Amino acid sequence: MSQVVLSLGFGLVTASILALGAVGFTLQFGVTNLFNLAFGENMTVAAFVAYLARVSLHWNMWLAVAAGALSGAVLSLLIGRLIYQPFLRRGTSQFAMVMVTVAVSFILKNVLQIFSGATFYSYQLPPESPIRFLGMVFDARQLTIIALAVVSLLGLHLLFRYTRIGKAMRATSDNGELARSVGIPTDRIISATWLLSGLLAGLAGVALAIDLGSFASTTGGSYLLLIVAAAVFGSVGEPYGAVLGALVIGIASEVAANYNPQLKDVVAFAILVLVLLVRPEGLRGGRVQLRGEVTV
Amino acid sequence: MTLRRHRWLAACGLAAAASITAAGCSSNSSGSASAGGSTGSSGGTYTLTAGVLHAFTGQNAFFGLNAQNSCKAAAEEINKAGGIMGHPLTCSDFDTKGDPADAVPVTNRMLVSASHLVMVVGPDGSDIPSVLPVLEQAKVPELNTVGDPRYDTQTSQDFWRLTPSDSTQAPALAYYAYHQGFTKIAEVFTSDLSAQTTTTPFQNTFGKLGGTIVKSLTISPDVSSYQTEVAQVLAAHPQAIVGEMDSQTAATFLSEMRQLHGSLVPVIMTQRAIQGDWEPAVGPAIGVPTLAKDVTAIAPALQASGTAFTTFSSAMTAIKANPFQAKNPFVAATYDGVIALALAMDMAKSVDPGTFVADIPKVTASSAGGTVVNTYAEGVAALKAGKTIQYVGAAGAMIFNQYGTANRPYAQWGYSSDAHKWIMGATLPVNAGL
Repeated sequence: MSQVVLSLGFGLVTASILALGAVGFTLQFGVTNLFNLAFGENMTVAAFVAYLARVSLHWNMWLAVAAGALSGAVLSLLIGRLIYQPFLRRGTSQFAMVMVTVAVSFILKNVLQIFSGATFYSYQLPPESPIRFLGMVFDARQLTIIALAVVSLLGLHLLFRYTRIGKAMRATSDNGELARSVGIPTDRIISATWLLSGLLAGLAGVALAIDLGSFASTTGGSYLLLIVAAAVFGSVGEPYGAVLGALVIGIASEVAANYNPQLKDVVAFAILVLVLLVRPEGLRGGRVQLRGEVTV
Repeated sequence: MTLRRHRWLAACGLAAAASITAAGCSSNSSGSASAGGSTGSSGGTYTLTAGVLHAFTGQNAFFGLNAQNSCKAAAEEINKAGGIMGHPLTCSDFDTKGDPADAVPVTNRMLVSASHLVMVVGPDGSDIPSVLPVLEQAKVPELNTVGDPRYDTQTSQDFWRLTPSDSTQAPALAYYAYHQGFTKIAEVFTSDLSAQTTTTPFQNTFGKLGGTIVKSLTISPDVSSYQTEVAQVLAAHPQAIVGEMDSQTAATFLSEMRQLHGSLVPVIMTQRAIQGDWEPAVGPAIGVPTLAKDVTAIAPALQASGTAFTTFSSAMTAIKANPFQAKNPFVAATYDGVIALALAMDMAKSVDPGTFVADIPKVTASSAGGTVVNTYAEGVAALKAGKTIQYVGAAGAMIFNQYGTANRPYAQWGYSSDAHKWIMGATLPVNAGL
């Protein structure tokens, strides 16, 4: 039993990183309708920028996290505006757009590898004392990752619910044409979405690199499948669903490891398949959830 | 008009495809024999090629970089001594990306495009099952360092394994752990093939020696957290952890262990730990002093001095190789393999693989009255003088068994936080644990 409780705690850390990534991914899809498979490389670039800030420039870790997150936002905006949007304006099909994102992913990964070489990097953070809480064990860094996820997601909730830009994002997500016809500057809203989702990708990338202990040019890409799974689990385009998906996948995979470590991903994806069998639109039923709430 | 043009383009495309296929087929069927055959009979000086068939991109890229510099350093030494019967040797890279699906087309491309291909350096363990049949068909000898015990009794004339099989590594690992006084251990191996080939022979030997495995875990590589697995290992209270993990997995697993336990339980790893990507990932994650204090690797022994080692080191410096590679037994063994094949060509007086392949064991075997040579130049001089030679290179003697595997002794390796590299310690007895 105590091992299972321990796993719950470990699962919370995994779920927090997943949640940051999955919400960013799903937000991007919700507003731009782009299933962005280069999202993982956005995370990796942020992890490297934080590394440069922390190890090369000797900034403190908080500033390094901020630098990483900002670089994620800027990269996301640049790629969105300069590469994806010209294709979208031309009415490129969704399948072709997925292939464009795959191409961007390959380009970013290989450029990163050219600069980083075939080696690993680490923030070289000192060990922390364990903190015990209700049978679970954390360290200060893990608690920080959990707190970062909670604060970010809470902020996002407040943004969607109480700000004009958040409501405009939801309206654009729901029906871009209609939003434009009522005077919402959808072009700017889409840019804001690139920035926001990139910021979340950046945070997820740096949090992942901290949690792993070391990272390489392939790290973000190899984690993308779990992020997509969490997003699909909770209905793609639905941020609250993505949080739920992250929690279920993060915790279920850690608890499953008690029985057989190789069951980690098996259990996570088996749950995903089961949910999709019962509810093909995902747990939260897609952007339908947002439609009823839009009041700009 | 458009339709006609399309038909014309299609016809051209088909013709081009047919000619490429035909070229590929002819190169495949005659393969290196045509290269060797023509070079063997045509006279003149031309450049011979060693194809370095490895992953140069992706997670296993360091394997390719090791093999590339092994080959380059050997070519440097060979060319400095005048080449192979006057022919310079060059190394050409072919990137398999570490993916068997990519490896076969790349191999075919190498066979078609490489001029005077006399040997292949590689591939690594994940690619060799798909690539070896292609190379066998083309009759090109290949030099590998794979550990997979499935090749322990292989019979291909073109398979030359330069380092011991995992079936001998596992007993050495068990022998070392037991003789360090660790009778209760936890074993943690990743689920990939190269790690899994070690588990059963390790369990058998450790059990026979009288040790107990208190926890046995097979973990999926490269997942984001191993905290549950670490907690399970710690709950079993092992005296040490024995296993094999890739660099990213080890960095996460060991850093989480240090976090949960406050320190590391002594860790004994396979040769995987001394590969070039391991320390850059694990050292910063757990701290270099912890790596030096708590982690040991059991890997093939290396000559640390002597003419062969000095020549190898100089060649590595000349090609501006990463310094850690000059202390890596796999790099040294691969370098030795290229030199041995070059000497086999000199002995056979032919660069045709079909001819010189039979001479490979002759230049490496120990024989009564044979002259031990430590460099390519020494070997060529001895052969010219009509002597029988045994090449003993930077990684020591390389005596192939009937299945094309060079069995070598193992040694204990520890990481030096001062020198920032793995340092070889005591050599284990020959056939330790067997």
